[in-house]
Amino acid sequence: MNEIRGMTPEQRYFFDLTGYLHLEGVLQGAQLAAAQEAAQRYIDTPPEDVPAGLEINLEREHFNWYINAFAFDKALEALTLHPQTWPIVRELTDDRPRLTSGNLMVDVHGKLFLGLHAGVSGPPPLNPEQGRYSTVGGKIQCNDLVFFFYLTDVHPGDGGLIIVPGSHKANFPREKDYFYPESYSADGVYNDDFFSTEVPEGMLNITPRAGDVVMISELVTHGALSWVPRDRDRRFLTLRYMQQHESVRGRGDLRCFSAEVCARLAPETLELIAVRDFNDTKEIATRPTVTLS
Amino acid sequence: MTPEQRYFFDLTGYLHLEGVLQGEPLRAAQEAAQRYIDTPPEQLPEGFRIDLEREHFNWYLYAFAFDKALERLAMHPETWPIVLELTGGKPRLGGGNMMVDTHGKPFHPLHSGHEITFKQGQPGWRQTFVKNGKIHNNDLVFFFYLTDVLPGDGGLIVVPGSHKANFPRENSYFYPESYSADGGYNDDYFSTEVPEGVTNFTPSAGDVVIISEHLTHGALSWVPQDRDRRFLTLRYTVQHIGPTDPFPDGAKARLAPETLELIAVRDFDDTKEIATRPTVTLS
Repeated sequence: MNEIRGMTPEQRYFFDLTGYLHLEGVLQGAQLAAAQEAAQRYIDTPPEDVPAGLEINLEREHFNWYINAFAFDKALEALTLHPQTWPIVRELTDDRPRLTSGNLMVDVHGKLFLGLHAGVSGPPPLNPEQGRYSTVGGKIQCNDLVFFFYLTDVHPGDGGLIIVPGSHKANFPREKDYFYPESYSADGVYNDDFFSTEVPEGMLNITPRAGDVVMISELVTHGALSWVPRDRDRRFLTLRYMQQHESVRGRGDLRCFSAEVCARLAPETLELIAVRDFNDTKEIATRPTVTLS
Repeated sequence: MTPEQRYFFDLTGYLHLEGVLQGEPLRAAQEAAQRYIDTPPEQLPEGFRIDLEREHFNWYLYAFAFDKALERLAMHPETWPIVLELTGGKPRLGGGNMMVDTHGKPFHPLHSGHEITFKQGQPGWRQTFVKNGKIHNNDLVFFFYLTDVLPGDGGLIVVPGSHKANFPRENSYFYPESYSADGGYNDDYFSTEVPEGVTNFTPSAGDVVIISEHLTHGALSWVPQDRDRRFLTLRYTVQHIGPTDPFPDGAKARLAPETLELIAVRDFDDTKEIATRPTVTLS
């Protein structure tokens, strides 16, 4: 197999323009089936039987939340270093990768429209400390990344993930009356009664198939349309990466995982979640592919 | 510009303004366009020219000067504030031709002014930047649509965000077969596909689509055999990039004083009188 080195020029061009990539068929066959089976097993686990350090939250307004799902099963943990996404993680973090969370989200009919939002408030270029994006040296660096590993299909008209392509480089603020003005209440918070499957001009609704990966910069403005199907859910593992030396998302302590979660992880994943000095080089970051031991 | 227009244009590199021309102004512009199209080449006013040989569309040169109904569009009250803001109050009209796209004309492959800078490895004369909360852009195209484009018809395509691209677009992206092996356009290529990352516009007659020439754009093959895609293309730059206006004396002789000022080349520090007015009416 040819070694994959960084992003392809086409991925680099597309991500620079839009702030997202849609990778088709990353998981297939037995690998996809194993991840789907593990996700289903977590979903079917009674909350009181969930392993220590993991937690099911069915009260979250926009989706059901299966916290630390990546640590639930090796089939999900392996996705954190998947051979097709790993080169992208490495390039965008400038070989300073750190996994900061890995939860399973399940969007079902009746959950609320998720209003548009982004990782920084206001135009990213005006918040460079938090919203770092650069193309120095012919490569993109971006310090706040989200990889959605889809485990179920999304069809046109279903609803689901929406983004505003290009907003990761916006020079002007997005006011709440753009795109979905009624998705916010008068005091500026989310309007929990809002329902929409509309896709206005300038907006993109992404319809991945099971096995696809959608990756976005947290700088890109995003949200989720109301989920229409009553007989199917939208199910995806959300892996978040930052650079190894910083935290820009208001979590306080840079260490994100409990001892119970860490006890379930392979050495490579433990290195991936570790906080390190800017000048350190993680051993896994020198490898084009990483296999869990 | 409104804050929403500013936000949207900054992100995408385009604006789609709906219903700019309605009722009598639209009908008058359509009638003038039809009259130009129906004029035998030998009976055209001095300086005007029809080019039916251009590969991607039929070309009616200097159409904005053909009739006052078209000339007025150069300073239309809905587009004029946008022209003023994007040119930093230093507008110059540098082109005003009508294009008519008909079935059988070749697919117009993706291209842009911004991409030339990558190929040449130097910044060139085009500029776009944000200063004091405003967008500045010195190469703009305003398409005033005079006929409808319906979904599936084909027509204008753009790559939103490409005006701020930091990496070159290779010919193998989006429509690889639209280029020949030597990098030229493949005139045998036909497509109405809209791949991920590309937007196809379907303006109605009376709409205006504004793009930065920095934006990568092209045109899908035109499908309808009984309708054409007809639009006046007004190109604006800044007044201090010249050296002279490109218009023949015959066309200029027909223009109002306000339009003559609009096409004039001026020093950067000059202020055109029309640029001080929120709206301009032809005298």
